Amino acid sequence: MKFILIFLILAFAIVAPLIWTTDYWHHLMVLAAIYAIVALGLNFTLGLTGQLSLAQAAFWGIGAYTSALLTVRHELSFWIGLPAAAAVSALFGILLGFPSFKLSGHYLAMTTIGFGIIVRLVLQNETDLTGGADGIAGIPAPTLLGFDIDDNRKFYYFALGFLILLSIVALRVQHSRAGRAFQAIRENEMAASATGVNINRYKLIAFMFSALYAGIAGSLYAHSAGYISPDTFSFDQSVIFLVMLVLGGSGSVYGTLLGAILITFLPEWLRFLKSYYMAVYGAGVLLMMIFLPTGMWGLLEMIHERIIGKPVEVIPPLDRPGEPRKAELSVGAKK
Amino acid sequence: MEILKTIQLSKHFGGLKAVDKVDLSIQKGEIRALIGPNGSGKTTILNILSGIYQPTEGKILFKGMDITGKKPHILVEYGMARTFQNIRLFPELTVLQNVKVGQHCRTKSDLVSIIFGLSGARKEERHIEEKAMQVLEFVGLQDKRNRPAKSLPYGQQRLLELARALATEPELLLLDEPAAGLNPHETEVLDDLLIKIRNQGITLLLVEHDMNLVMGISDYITVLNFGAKIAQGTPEEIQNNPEVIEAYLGKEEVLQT
Amino acid sequence: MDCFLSVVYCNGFRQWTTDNGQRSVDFITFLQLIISGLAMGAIYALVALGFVLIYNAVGIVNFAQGEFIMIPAFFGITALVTWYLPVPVAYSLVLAAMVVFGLVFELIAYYPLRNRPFLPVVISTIGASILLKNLAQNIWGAIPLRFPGLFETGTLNLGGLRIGLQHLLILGVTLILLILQYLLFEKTLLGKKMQATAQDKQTARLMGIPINKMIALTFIYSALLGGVAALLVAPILNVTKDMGGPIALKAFSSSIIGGFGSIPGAILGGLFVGVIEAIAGKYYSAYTDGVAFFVLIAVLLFRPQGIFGERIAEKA
Repeated sequence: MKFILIFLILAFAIVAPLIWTTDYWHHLMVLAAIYAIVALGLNFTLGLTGQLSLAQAAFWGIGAYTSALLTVRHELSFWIGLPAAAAVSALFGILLGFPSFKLSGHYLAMTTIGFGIIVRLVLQNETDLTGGADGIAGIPAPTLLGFDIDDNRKFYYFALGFLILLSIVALRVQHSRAGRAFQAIRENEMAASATGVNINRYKLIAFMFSALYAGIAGSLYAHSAGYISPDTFSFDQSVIFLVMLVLGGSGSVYGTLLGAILITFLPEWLRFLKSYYMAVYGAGVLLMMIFLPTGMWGLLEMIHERIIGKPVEVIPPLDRPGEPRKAELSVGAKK
Repeated sequence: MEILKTIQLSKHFGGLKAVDKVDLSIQKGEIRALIGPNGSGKTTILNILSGIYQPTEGKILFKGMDITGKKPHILVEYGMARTFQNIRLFPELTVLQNVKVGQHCRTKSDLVSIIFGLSGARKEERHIEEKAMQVLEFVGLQDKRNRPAKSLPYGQQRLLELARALATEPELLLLDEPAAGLNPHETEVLDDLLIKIRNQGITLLLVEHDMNLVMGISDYITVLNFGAKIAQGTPEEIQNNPEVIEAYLGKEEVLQT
Repeated sequence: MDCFLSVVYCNGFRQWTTDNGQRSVDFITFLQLIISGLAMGAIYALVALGFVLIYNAVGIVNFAQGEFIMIPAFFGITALVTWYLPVPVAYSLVLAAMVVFGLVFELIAYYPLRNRPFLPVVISTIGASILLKNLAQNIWGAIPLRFPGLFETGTLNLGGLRIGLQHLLILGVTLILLILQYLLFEKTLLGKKMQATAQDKQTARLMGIPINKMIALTFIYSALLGGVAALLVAPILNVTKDMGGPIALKAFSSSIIGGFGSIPGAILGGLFVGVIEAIAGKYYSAYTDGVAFFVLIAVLLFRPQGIFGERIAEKA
């Protein structure tokens, strides 16, 4: 059942560019794939670990600039720019993870906002390094096995490949001991620590992952757009990533993907509202929070449960004393 | 053999001496109860032992190692686990996931083998699953494994917290009022369970107000009052100790048991 | 990794050495900087107060706080420019409109979510912010507008020390407002009820205080503070849909720098950020907008309870 669903979604993702054939729609699809990667990154910090980070656009920008500068100024290959973007961004991610040892909630959020604003100011003002407000133009298209990925349709499949890979990585991490450690921190820090989770270490890892994903997405963005400027990587963009995550379903990989796609295409579907579409979009976000507290994914799960029906569980009472227990404890002391 | 020893353990909050020069010596395999009137420093001692508080003075030796000032997760790795007075579960995670977190410190798959799905990581994940199921069966929660922890009734939440602590494979288990809020039947089940845990070779140190439970299962009892140790002995000795009776003055159920 | 940082410093240093030749940093210039810094700081303080009061009342940081300045600024333009109303009437009308605005905002963006964890509420205020900004753009257009000030470019000359009249007005009005607020919170029953609600909702409810009403009043008061801040600062800024965001973020930083959750902390933090920004902005003009955040990060790392705060209250 689950595999059929995943197969259908994948099939749809693959034929989508053949259904909507204009270059503009292909461009939106590229954006959706890239945004989804950034939002998947944010799912590590906020969704799984519960650390409210609003610097996601800054990591995205760091990735985009690293890759753009290496390929434009130093004429290196995209295949060097991309890992470099991921690495530089991840390093900044770890750096921003340190304040999370001491700070939580709104304090941490404000620190990450501050970091994002400073990054953007550096991009804007350090003209020698970053090209300043004019940005960087002429970023080359990537080549894959001798093929130039030089239009939006090709780039969509290219980015989709990354998105699928990174979604698999995210799912694997989430369902591993590391993923459980993240979630334990989100649920109760003290209990996580008293259950053997090194909370500082896993907070750093979560920040590293979130920046790593954003860095990769940044590189993809730079090479698909061919031109980048500081304005793209603003605080407002970080907020949009946050909205994607929470509207889709924070903590769930599928929900995050859904949120990213929804938020990328929603303004297009609202175009008929003319100049009011952004206002309606804001109102939509507000209303969804009021009526869909668990995000779109939560809603789908609920509908699914309604249709299939909840598995009926027989809930036996606690074992009566004297009754034989089903198993003996074999977890005893280690040596 | 001595598993845990404290030497002149003290914790001051400003001018208040919450714990005052307490010497404890706990033998491997015993069930030790820490009792005393409210505010006598029992929970504070548990919080120091499990690394949540730093002691103001004094030393803690665990299996002969000085563990004073170590962080909680390190202590779990050394073999010390705990539960909390006001249950601290991972409410949104399932029952099984809660217990699986307990296996965290006993497993070591790194991110690379997780991301690439290497066979070592897969094998370990299966092992974690088996281990967690064993522990759940031990406390009798195996049928609830896929429910979110927050949906369990109170008594079962206590059992789940115990299961999570057991999943860390401890040698010493610190229990902060495990029977608080349980009905008589549930307390009986717990009583049974604690003895079974001890029979597995795990040492138990519990803070508890339910005197029936304490007198029934403890090998030794340490009594605290105003942060200081005032008595220590077998349940029988403690029940007849005049100083203890005075400390509990008015608490007649102590005398009756 | 630290190449970014060192570049920041090098660049700043270059500006310092090259520009400094013709610019003698004498005492009077310095005083002027302090005064204009204090004036901007007073605006941050008012907005920071708006944040803190809402935070204390409902535990939520309102990400639409910037719109609490942007909206009244546009209201003011409509009243003063379009309707050509006399200043006292126009200003009163703006403040009255803000009372309604605060209430409506509370009823839509907060009240339906009052029993939810903080993140959905934060997102809902973000949604409200997007909605308000784009409504404003539809109503008043995308071109920056000028808000007619009381004094235009008037300055007061005190033996070489030139002080902008608008700056003086900001400082004076803020001072009076803070005194009134002190009287409201400390000397009136209503103020005490609002404080009690902020400190402990359960107990306040048990004491028979209508806490939902108090929370609504807090939002209204916060909107009024935004209205006053807007009337004061709009004449020295461009009025656009995005004018509120940067002010709000700096005000939010100020409140943390001062000690989050503390009313004096918000005021002192705002003034402090205003002054530091004015002085630093003189020499690192490109980074003026970053100053508040550099200070914020430094404070959070070394003194998380804030410069003037006594303890860190939040452990979310």
